[in-house]
Amino acid sequence: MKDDDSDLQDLILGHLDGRLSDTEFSELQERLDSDESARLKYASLARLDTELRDGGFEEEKVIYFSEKQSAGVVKSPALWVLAAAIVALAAWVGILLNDGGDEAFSQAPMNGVAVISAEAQAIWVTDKNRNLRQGVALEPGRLVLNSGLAQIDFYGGASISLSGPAELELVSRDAAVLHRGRIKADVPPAARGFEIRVGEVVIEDLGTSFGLAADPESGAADLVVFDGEVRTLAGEETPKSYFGGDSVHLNNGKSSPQAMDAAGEFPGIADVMAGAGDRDVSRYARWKEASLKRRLDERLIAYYDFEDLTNLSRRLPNRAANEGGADLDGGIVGARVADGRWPQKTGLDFRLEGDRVRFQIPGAFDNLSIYAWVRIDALDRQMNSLFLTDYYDPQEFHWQLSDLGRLHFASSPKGVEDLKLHNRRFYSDVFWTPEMSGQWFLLATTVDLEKQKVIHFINGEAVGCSGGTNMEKPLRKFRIGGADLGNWTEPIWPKGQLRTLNGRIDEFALFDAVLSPEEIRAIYEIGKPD
Amino acid sequence: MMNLSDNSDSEERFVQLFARNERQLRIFVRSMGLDWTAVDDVIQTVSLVMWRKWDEFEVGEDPEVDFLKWGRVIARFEVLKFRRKMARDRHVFDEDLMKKLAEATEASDANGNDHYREALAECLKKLPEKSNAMISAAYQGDRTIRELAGDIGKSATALYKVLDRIRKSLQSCIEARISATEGRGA
Repeated sequence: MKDDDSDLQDLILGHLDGRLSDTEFSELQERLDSDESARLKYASLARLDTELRDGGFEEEKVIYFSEKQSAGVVKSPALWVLAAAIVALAAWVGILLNDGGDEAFSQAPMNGVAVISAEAQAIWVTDKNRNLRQGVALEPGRLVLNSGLAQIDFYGGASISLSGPAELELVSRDAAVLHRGRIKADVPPAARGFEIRVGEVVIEDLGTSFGLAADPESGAADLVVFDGEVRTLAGEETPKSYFGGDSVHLNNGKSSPQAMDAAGEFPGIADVMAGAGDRDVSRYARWKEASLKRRLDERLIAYYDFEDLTNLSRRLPNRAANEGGADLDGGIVGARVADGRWPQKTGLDFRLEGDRVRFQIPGAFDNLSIYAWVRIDALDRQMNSLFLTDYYDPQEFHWQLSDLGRLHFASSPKGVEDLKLHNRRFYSDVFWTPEMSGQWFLLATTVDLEKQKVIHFINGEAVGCSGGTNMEKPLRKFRIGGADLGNWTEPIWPKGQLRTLNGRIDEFALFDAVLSPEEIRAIYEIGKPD
Repeated sequence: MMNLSDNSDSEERFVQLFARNERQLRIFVRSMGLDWTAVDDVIQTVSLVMWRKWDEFEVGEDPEVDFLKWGRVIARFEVLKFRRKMARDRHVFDEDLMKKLAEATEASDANGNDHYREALAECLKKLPEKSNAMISAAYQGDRTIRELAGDIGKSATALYKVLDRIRKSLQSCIEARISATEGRGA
């Protein structure tokens, strides 16, 4: 746990080393400005830094001075031979190190250290801007699980099952602090050295599986090693090793053996998966029921539920009950059948240049609402297709994602003629960052021709518009004709421009109507993955 | 009127005093937030300015304290002058804060920490060998943290984290020792 003072010291040392971010620098400057004790701390750490650099722990000898060379002391031979130091360091770093990863050097901000890989009836305590659920990348910080089970996979390779109520602080891709609750850790050989701190004790896993329970009241903890070897480090004391079958009670730096079952049960990954399975089944069933009703909505132009697809499926059936029928079925090209939001549901995986679902949808529409459940794996093209009409003829529209993480809607009454003057484009606020890779989103856009209003929705919530072009100019009736889901046929520019989606889709609907925000919200609530 | 021998005496005295106080001056300059290149530059200038003005300097009752005090007056001036040149550099504190930091250094001195170096040496001894090796590699070697990290296939961030942990434990060890020593009234 970092207290305030420790944070301040980190900032000061970071500044002395010249490795603060701009934000951190401002924070430090502010704290120093306003707090004398902070300045004293800066002074004393600057002193430590100087003493260490100038060899303050050795007797100094005055040897020379001349006007050219400023007065100086000659350091006695270094206490340690550097080469040996580096060897020792290499061996040791793997043990004690909190590997914070390479975030200082990577181009894009990638601060995630772990991911929630499964949940069972998990109730998280979060602030309202944070949505914890399966697939969410976790940055260093505190996780509070009120009840239920969650499996957390650290990027370093270790995996833990957390049983609520529990409080776990993620430190790095290889380290965490258990403040309360119980965990079962599974550490494959590749993640050896994974550390969990509880109180003053650091528990280092040497490739194994163990259970740990922390009681915040007494500060005591129970450690049970199921398999392999675990080492505990308390302060500067000699590390102690425990092996499969060992069970100890840790209290105040003392450890006493106890019976294997004294510490109670440690639910593991299998329990999380089993619990998650139950939840998936009920989630899927709820969605299925709503989906069957949706077919009857008369405002639908077409509705694709992506259900019951097999590797042999080449047709994506239109499920809308109104007149369109099978004429509006999509043709699956390339895209592979894959799991949808739940294991029980099928979806399509789009990845390769040719992957798409082809549509031919005649008619002209006075209004438009469009939604899709999309798992975005990456936005690696400048524009990434959701639903693009072939080419860009007059009154057609393009619905896609930009590499910046925005949802785009565009239509031009004059097609490609003088795009600059006629192309109406509407960009949502940025909603996607690479940490969200692999998560499912409900993306929706409604266009109200009467009010001349375009609204983007992400996961049931209207999001702001971050910009566009010619947004004040009137939109006209829409046409679709030939179009692709997840790709673009007949790009405008002769050399073409790849807009292949990198991700999955498992539900898609088009309405000749303006869905209300409440309706969009309901579609999200009934269809959200967890 | 000084004869040759007086003159060389005088030079020798300056050399001794400066050498004895150089680290304190470096600490003083460093604690105003300058990086090492800047510290070296400023100290170079300070030594020359002091030597030029050595004749004007009147030695008071405690030559060392006064020499240090005088050195700090000059160092503070030189740091602020230097700052104006490098004001656009990254992460340089504003002038007011630099002055306040200089005061903090002097204030922490006034609390008396003659035992600092002794405490540091003791605390270094108490560190595990590997932590010592880390400090040594970081401070005494000719390779940067980034290069060291490359050598052992770890990230610089990770290495800094280790270093931070060691430095913080050194710091609290020193603080504890100094307050214990002062408590004994030694």
